[in-house]
Amino acid sequence: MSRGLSHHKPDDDYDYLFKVVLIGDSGVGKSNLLSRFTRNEFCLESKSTIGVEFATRSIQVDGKTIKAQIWDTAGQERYRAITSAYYRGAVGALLVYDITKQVTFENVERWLKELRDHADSNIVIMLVGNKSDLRHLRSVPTDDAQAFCEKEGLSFIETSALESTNVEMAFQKILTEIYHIVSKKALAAEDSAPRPGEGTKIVVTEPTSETEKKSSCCGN
Amino acid sequence: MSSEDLAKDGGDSSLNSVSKFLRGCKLPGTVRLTRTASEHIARASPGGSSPGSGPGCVAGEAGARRGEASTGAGELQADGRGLTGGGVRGSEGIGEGRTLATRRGGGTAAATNGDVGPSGRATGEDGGARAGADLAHLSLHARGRDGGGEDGGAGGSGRGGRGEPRASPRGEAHPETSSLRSMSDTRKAKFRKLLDEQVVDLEALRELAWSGIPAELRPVCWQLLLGYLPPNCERRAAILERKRREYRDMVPDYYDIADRCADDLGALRQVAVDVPRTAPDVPFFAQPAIQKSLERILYLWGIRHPASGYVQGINDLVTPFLAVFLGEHFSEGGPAIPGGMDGWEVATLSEAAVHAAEADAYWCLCKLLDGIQDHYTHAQPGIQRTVFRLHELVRRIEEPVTQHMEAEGLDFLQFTFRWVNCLLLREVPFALAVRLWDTYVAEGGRMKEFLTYVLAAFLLCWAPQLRAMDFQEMVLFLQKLPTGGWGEREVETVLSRAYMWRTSFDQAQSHLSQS
Repeated sequence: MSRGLSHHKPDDDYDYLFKVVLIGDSGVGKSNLLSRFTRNEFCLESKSTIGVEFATRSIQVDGKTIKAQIWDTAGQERYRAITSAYYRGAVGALLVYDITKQVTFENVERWLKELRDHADSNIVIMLVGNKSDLRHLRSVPTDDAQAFCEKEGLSFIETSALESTNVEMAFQKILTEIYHIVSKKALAAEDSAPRPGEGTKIVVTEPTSETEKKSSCCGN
Repeated sequence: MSSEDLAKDGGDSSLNSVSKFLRGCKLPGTVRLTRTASEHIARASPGGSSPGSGPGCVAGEAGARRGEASTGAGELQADGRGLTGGGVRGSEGIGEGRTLATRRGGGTAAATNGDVGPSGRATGEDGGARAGADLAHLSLHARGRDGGGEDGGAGGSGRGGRGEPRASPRGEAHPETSSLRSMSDTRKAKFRKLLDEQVVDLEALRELAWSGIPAELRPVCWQLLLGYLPPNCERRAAILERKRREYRDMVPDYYDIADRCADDLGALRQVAVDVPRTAPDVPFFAQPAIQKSLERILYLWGIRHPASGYVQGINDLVTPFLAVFLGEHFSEGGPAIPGGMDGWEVATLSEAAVHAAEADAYWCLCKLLDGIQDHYTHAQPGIQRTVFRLHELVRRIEEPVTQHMEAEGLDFLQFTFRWVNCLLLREVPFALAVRLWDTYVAEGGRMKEFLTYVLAAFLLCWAPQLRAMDFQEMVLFLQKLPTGGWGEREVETVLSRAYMWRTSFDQAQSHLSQS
């Protein structure tokens, strides 16, 4: 599993860089989830994604700046050979379906297999039921998806990119989860092999001013 | 390519299709055929073999105005000059000063390049093409070093690029107008002359069409060049009638059916997801009748081409055909597109007219995609090969930019995939798609190979900007290039450079070995 990189550039400061992929059937709203999260934009008739598209945004978790590098992929099966190359190195995946289209939920299993075949084995996966604003058209009950996630050990959330419901939450949640795993690992690694001079894992002073700076530049 | 297409199209074009398909599939075949294509160009291009056309070739080849080749040396020369200005120097103008064009600029371009002409002529007929390419190459590089600050360069290029406000063969200057090249009366007359023949000379039409087709002649020119209409005018009506009927019969057989297998259902679902988001920035396509047409065309195409099936992005590729074929009914000889498609209410047309345009669009889409079906088959090998070749080509042309991109970890496939998949249609305003199509269609069987050069020229429009960017900036920039203000001139600059580079690199295929 690739880990967060400690990388410093004056105008682009972050403690961790996490690569996350957005996958799921075509037309479920992956691109709009991304544009809502990174630019606070939504477009009802956006063009289909061909290949992959990319966007980033930084958020704060436990006083750390986490930069999410998000790869949005084309949903059609034909593109899997191309898009699956981008799973490599991803620490998180948002697997999106459309709550109004049963078939997009049924295909979730196939997407999980895709991840098992091409992504790192310990990638954090979150199932996202999008278009929750279309209540009257719902065809996938929340309980079904919830039960499926418990069985598969995935996190779950329902979102509406259109109404901007839970989008922030979905990304925050998966990035936090990744952060906890990564930092726990780092701690564990340190415990087993303590090296003198590198024991400063808890930095409390530095990020405080940055927290404000970052949250203002993140849009929304 | 489906077997039924083969069966229906008859002998010659079937063989042609097969060879095109094979070319895409087999690497050795690709190289061999590319060579063949280059020989073909050498033979067919203006300066390649026609005696006395050396000078025009120098400028004309460089500037990609093959169109005038058959009309005599004097005219050729004039065209060549104009276009060299557009082709080589015009690149400076991209994104800036688009309205600067002046007659003075055009004149400057012509005068400058006029110097090239005579010396080019001295090289004689045989070396024409090569000399032209080399000179063009040199001038390009010289421009690169100078920063292209020649007087009148930016403005002149625009006019030059269109080739109109320049000295005509008889020395009189065309009036300075804002009209596009495709609108010029002399050009129109040339098209009409060719089209009025009993049997249209397709090669001559190809050369003329390469530089842009007058709006009102687009439908027939595209249909002829794609091989949908036969060159013999006596047979046209009957064939058109038969193909339209054939399409009409397919609809109940494949589309209007109640029971579908799971695969077909999936295909229909995919098409239905994409139809509403096809060219969403062009209201014309949002009309219910157009949406239905799109759905039928795409679904039928997918069903009848099972090797690939419908692939996202093909929905984009059908839009120029629908717009142009339906546009005939709205534009009464004026500019169809890019003149604008406002007020084009399909509901005002007869059902028969819509069906005819739909059928024509379907068959023309088939023809266009015949040569590039491996772009859409499993793992999309055609696209991967094109991207590989593009990378090699760009490395040859602009090593520093390539090195910078590689150092930043930017993979060509990442940003060029959509370019190839949608033939650059997504990267320019819709109004320019038809202009791109003119050249693609004129390229015919060489379109696939030419695309690599077009993509290189397109990418390198942004070379200076890219060199100053890091990985993230490059990805974001290339995903959404600032082409919103582009006009025909910018597109033609890209096409001209592509033509020039192909002429250069075709002489040295090993530079672009497929490995």
